[in-house]
Amino acid sequence: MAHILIAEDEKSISELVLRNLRLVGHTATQAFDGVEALHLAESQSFDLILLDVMLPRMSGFEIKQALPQEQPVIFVTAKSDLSSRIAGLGYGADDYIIKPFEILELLARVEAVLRRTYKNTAQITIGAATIDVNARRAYVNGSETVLTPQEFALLEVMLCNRNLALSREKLLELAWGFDYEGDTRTVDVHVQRLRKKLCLETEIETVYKLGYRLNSKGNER
Amino acid sequence: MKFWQKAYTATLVLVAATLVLSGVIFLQIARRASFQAETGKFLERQHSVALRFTEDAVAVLLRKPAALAQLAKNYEETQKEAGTFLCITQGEETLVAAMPLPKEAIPTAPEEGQRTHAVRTANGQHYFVVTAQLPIEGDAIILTCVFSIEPFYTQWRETTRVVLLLGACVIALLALVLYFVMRSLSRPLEQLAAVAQQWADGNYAARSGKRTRDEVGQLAMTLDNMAAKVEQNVSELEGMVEEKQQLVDNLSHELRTPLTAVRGYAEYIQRTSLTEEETLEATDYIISEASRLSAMSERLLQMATLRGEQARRRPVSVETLLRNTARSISVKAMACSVSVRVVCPAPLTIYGEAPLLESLLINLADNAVKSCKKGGKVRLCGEQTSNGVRLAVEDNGAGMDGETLKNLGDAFYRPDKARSRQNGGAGLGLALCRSIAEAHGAALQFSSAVDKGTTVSILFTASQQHGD
Repeated sequence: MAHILIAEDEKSISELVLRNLRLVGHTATQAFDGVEALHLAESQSFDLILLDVMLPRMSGFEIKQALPQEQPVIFVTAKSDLSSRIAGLGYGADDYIIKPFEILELLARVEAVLRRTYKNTAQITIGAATIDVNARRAYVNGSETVLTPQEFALLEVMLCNRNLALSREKLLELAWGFDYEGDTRTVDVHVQRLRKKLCLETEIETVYKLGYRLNSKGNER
Repeated sequence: MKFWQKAYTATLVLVAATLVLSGVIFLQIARRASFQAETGKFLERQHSVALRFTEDAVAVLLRKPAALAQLAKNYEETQKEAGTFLCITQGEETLVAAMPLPKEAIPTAPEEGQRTHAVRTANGQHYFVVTAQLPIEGDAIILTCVFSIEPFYTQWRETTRVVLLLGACVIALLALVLYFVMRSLSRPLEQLAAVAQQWADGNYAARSGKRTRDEVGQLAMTLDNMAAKVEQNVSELEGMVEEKQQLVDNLSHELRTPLTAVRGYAEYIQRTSLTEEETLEATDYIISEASRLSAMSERLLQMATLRGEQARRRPVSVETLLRNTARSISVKAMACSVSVRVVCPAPLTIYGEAPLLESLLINLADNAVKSCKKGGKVRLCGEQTSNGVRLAVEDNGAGMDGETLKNLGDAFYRPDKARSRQNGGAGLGLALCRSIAEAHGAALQFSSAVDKGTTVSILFTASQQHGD
């Protein structure tokens, strides 16, 4: 669970990102203009800042320059041209995402940056299971359950996107990779195994017509 | 080969050839004249010798013909001292023949009383031979005089040699001088070529600088002017390209944001288990963003179709137009506590398309209402002026500064650089208004002062009224 600042002047987008971040277990604060964003960033400690490049009163680039270098930042913007991207990354941003984006992509990039900067959650507890993300180990009621690499990969994807329903195709893409030629039945098989091994029969929900969703109320450290 | 080399070579060759040719011709003519003079002298000498000999021979033949040989010998000796060789024959007999030439070399004597002459060589020396048959009765007496004409030839050899040497020197000198002259003449051209190369490389700011006053200078001046024009055009074009790029960038931003929202919320609803209230909020966002997209694309479409086209001319009542506008804006105006008044004292008519004109006025009125604080006033006026019918939208709201005024009407321009949406709209409204005004042959005019208010007026001129 990370504390994230959303600096975006478009209310609808800001709300959208806020809700999704909360769903997957982060906390977030919103800022609607550059000055407010800088003020909040300086007065509170954020694990990551999602910074829109075109903010009123102060641009995202300017804010990044005013902040300490180690502050993880992801630029969000509609400017897709190459020079803007290069400029953005040149300013020291950890990533650069272009609108329109898929929420899942944003969440994945957030997770990636948090992992790189060691701000991601070390241990996540859902129901009876505790998962040590960095050590790649899972425990049920204190004793370790051995998971195959593929099972862990699937578990990671579901954890990253918890409370969001993911289709079988999406799970296949995210956990098995784009090149995988198999069919989605393997997803069902693996989900069953995870449910069994981690006693998450209730938490891993089958969503009608959509896929699967890992539900969690957010008790992580 | 370079230009100056070509000119140089051509000139040099021509001059040299001319020089040589005229030299040769001159020499030939002079030589001939000289020869004539020289041989003329010899001929005279021969003539006098022949005359005297004839007299003496006639006299001797009368008195003592055997003494002719002695006479001949006497003459031969005297003449030899003078440098002339004689050969005298009488019939078949040779009386005297002490000459450096063999007898065969002598040309055949012509008729009596005539003479011939020729040039003969022997041992490398030239001799001028004059033969004549003397007008003496009896056996034919032929008198041949042989003169050495070698000096003539020697002298002419010398002369020729001198002339050739002189010619060579002159040509060499010419070559040198011509080289410098050509180089200096072609230098301006080379400089001009260098400047032209700069232009070709894209540096249109280069100029040829100081000039001569000849054709090259003219050319340089003309080319400089051309470069100035090109420079201007290029920067204009670059400006236009940048503008276009800006437009596209802005457009993409404006479109992408609502799209992200629509998709995002739809996915959100699908994937999450939401309360009814949360679902309602999410769908609200989807609807409002979709409406925004729709309004924007509508405006863009209108602008695209209007571009360059002229609106149809139908009579439109100004009062009706203004009142409709006021009505359309009334809801928003009331919500902002802004009053809207229509001021149209006389019944006026303009010619155009009512829906477009309404769209134009509503846009302007909307901006006016947005710029006013609570209690602000907006007036929609229509009046007849000396130039035509004037429609105006006046407000006493926030006003605009000079910078903003300059960029109004540029598509997507908004005074706030971050294009925040709190004040609504994507900045297309005024660009659209300008398009509509243009399509009606009318002009939009803005006057504004910060914190005092803004007046936007549109003037429909009489010529426009008659559907020009």
